Amino acid sequence: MQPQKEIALEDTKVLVVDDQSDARAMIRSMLMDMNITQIYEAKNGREALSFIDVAPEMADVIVCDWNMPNMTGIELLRQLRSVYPDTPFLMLTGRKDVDSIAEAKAGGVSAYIGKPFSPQQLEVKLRVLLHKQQKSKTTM
Amino acid sequence: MPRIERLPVVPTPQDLTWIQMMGDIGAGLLLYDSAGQLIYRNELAMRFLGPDTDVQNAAQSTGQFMKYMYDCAVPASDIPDILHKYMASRGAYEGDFHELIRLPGALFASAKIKALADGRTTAILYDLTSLFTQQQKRDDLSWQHYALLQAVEHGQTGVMLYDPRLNDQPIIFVNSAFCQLMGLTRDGITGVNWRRVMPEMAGMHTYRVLNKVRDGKSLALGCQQSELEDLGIIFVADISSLNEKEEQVRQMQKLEQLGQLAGGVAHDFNNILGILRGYTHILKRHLGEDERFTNALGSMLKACERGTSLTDKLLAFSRRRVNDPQSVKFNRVMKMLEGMLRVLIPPSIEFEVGLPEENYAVACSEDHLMQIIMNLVVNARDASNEHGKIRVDCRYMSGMETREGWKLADTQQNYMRIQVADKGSGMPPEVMKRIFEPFFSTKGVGKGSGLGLAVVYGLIQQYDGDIQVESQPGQGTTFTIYMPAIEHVEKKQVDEPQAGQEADLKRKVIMVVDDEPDMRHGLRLYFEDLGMTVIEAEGGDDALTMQDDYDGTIDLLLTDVRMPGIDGARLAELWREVRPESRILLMSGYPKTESSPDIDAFLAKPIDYDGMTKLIRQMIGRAENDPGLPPMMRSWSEKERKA
Repeated sequence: MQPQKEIALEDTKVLVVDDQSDARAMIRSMLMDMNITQIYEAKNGREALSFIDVAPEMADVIVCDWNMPNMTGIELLRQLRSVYPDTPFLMLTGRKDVDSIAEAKAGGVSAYIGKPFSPQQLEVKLRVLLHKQQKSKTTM
Repeated sequence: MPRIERLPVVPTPQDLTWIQMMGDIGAGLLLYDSAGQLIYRNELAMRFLGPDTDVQNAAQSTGQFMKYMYDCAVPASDIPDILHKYMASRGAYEGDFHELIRLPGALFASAKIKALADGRTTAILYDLTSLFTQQQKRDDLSWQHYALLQAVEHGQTGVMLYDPRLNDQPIIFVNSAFCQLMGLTRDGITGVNWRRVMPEMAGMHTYRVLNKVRDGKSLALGCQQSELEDLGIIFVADISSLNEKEEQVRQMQKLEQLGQLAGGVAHDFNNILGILRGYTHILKRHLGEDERFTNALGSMLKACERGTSLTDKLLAFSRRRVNDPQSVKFNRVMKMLEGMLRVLIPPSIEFEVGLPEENYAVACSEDHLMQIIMNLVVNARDASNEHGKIRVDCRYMSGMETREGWKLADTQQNYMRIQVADKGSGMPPEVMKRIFEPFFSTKGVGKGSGLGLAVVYGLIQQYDGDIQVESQPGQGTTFTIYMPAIEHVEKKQVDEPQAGQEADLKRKVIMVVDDEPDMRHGLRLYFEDLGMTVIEAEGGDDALTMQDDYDGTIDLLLTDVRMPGIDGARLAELWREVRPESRILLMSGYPKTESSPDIDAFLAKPIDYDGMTKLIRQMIGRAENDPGLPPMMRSWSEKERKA
């Protein structure tokens, strides 16, 4: 029997980027329900970018809203990908049109969740992202 | 011992009577002849005088001893009240030469010189120390002491106090519990040397368990002795029931460990059997028509069945068998059983079943309830002689009724009490201790697996019940069981497969999740053989990732429960959210846990392949025919795929 490399979801550091404080609070509580304790928050793309600039090791996964003043999610994604091509980036949005999806894909989004979403959907996406990342690491 | 026995005149034979008497009442005696020379002294006198030469010399003549008494008399101011009173009551201060003196062997000794009629004199010494100490203690007894004394007096623990400073270490106090436990009366016990009452104790600090028999019942007494400088204490407690409880706990722990062992082995074994069976089925499908292989394959499958039934029993004992907790109408099952059992019991044996009134249900599966009762009754039959008597007595007990000594004593749960009693051969304690152990059997080789009672025990524990046994060799055995009772039967909603809805499995997509590669591959081969598309995943996260990448519909998720990382139950919960169209089938050698989400079906390992196929056909068939399936709240990612 091959021991599976366990993905410790609860040890993951998550950066939550959303301009609305109640949205951030909701995501935070969902993450805490998954026993994730290291959660960082940013109000917009610019803040997130400077956070990652200073402490890139503090963001294993970025969970980001699309629409924000002061650098939107998609702008943040584009800037980020030039430096960190592999950091899992999970886009949360109400945009469900084909153009937006294509735009996000082109920008290098790792996963896409349409609002509203359930905690389980978020957890599945996070698990999938971490699992893929781990797999690519072990095969490298 | 120096110079005692060289006495000029020996006491006359007439003297011997009262000399003896003096000794008996605890008095020291010195006898002087008419010239005042010591002619006799008894043992006690020697002890009071002690080894001190000065005192010994002083005692050699009446005159010297009177002088010694005078010199050593306790000053009146130092004489405790109680001794004053005592001396006064004895007329000590009138007539005869009488003093309260200190001697090496007695703190307070009353010494009296008396002239005898024949011109001889005698000195009588009497030790008053204990009188004094007792009285002193009594006087000092403040209210607090009184309260403590009352507490000791009314306690369940026997207490004996003695005075280790005195030569004969007399008992100064016993409480009533002590007398009761030791089977003694209190009268006359104070003043007696404690060793006469408890010769088993060694003095100082000792702990011993004494086994006594009282009124035909054996008692275990835990006795603890502590000796302080001025007080000796012996505690006596009845630890019989404690011993019994400890034994019970030990017994339960042992069975628990055995259960874990058995369960672990059975679980692994089940997985191995599962692999074997899966491949055998595949071989059978391809080679079954070839006569050379039909028999061999059939035997292989039969051997697998036998292995499965063994692991099944082991798992039942270890309480890990997959089962579907449900409830049964108690009386209905019992009446059915009664008929079945009558056939098994020879007509010469009297067989009675006492049932409660109708309308009680027991939280247990019908099969298991029958298995439990059947096992016990068959055992009772085997223990009975030709004209035996077996009685099954069932009574409903509300949670308020006491069940002292039972595991479930503290619950408020209502129970059905089932007693199976026989008047058969009974069993000795050493057998009784081990009857629930797996493979323990007193029946001859080949006459039973030795698993019967172990299974009964396991099943009952699994349903949070309890079982105990009472037995006396030659007088019969009674098993008493408590099973949780519930008020009304609530049939658990089981998706009863309906006929005519079986789907064709060709081109259906199944995700198989198991951390054991052999198991997974066996299943893949099996399902592919049926024309299905199989996606394999080695764990929960892997499965989630696979489905995320898979664009089509996944008809069925078949997942093991116990896996590293997220387990099958959690996977099912998450899966439900992102793939609401899938049917979910959990498989495990372990029972469904309470946290199991709303899965569609549960499959016991080792897998019965034909049964599984039928089940899957029905599950998928129902999904196809069910218009009322919840609206496909497809996650965004699915729409993304279609886009």
